[in-house]
Amino acid sequence: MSRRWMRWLLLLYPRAWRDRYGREVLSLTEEMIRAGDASPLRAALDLIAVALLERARVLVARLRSACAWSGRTPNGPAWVAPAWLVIRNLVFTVVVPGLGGVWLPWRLLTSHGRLPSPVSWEALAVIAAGAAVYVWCVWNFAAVGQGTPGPWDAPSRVVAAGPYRWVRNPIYIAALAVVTGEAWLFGSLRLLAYAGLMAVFFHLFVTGYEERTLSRRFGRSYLAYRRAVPRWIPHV
Amino acid sequence: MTRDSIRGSSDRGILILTSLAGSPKHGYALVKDIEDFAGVTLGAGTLYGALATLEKAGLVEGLPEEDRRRPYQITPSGREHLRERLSEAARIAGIGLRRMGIAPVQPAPAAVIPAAGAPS
Repeated sequence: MSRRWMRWLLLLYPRAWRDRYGREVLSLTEEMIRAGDASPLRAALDLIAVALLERARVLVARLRSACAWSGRTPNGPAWVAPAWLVIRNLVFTVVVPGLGGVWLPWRLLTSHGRLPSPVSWEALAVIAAGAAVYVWCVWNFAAVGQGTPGPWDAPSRVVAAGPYRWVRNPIYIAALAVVTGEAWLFGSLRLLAYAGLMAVFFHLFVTGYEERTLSRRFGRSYLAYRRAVPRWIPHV
Repeated sequence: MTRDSIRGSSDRGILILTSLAGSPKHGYALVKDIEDFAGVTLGAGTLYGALATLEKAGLVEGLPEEDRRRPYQITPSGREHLRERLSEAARIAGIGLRRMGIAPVQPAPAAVIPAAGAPS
């Protein structure tokens, strides 16, 4: 009675897994249902949960190998490696700050119709300062660590140069300056709320993921850097 | 052993290795054995998810099928891994129990451990 739905659930598994373990896991499921060790519902939920886990595992492995591919130094004449580094950083800049700092704010501002007219031109200075700090950071990541700001293609060593001498997360501060500046420029409370959400997300991401990953990856050199330089607010 | 202490995928791996340390077993025998000594019934997907991870890591290996069921056995590196993990767990358990003023539990005599093997 149960054979058909179990076969369907098996299709959720990655191909290689299914080919190797599919038949065995089906016969065990049947045996457990028959012996009353598991209800069909529980068995089905278990099969689904593990299928999602296996899929996620395959996805992570693929992403890893894609990152390793993008971060490797290509063969060729001497200018190829720096050119590839520039391309990676340009792609990152267009995709991540482009989406979060330009495209999304633009959508928020124009959701009620046309772009509102600017109200405070002095905000342009804040936006320009944020953008300048961002460029400075990217320059240091690329020049010192041969990487990009993306966690998937990060510098190969701890970068403590440029703005990183005063504060550990200048790119996030620059991003907040740009978005807050945009909110000020257009007098938009929605954009200000968006900047607030961004700040909360940055803090959680930095404390929950980045700092752990960095101390695992770089060990002592990162811990020394972390002791010497504050996370958000520079020493005056 | 409480339910909480065996949550998590690596602990499932330890349960399977512990079960296989006695003798090779097929899926259903593994489920029943783990139910006996740990008090949890692993689902079929959960069991094979963990088995697949262990096999990929070279800690267990599948044997030729008998009677349409494939038994699995622990490999030498699986034994080594299990020995390390269990000694570490025992060391920490000992420290914890001493600090709470409880004498560390003596290992059960071998005769009390149910014979591992085919399901009843």
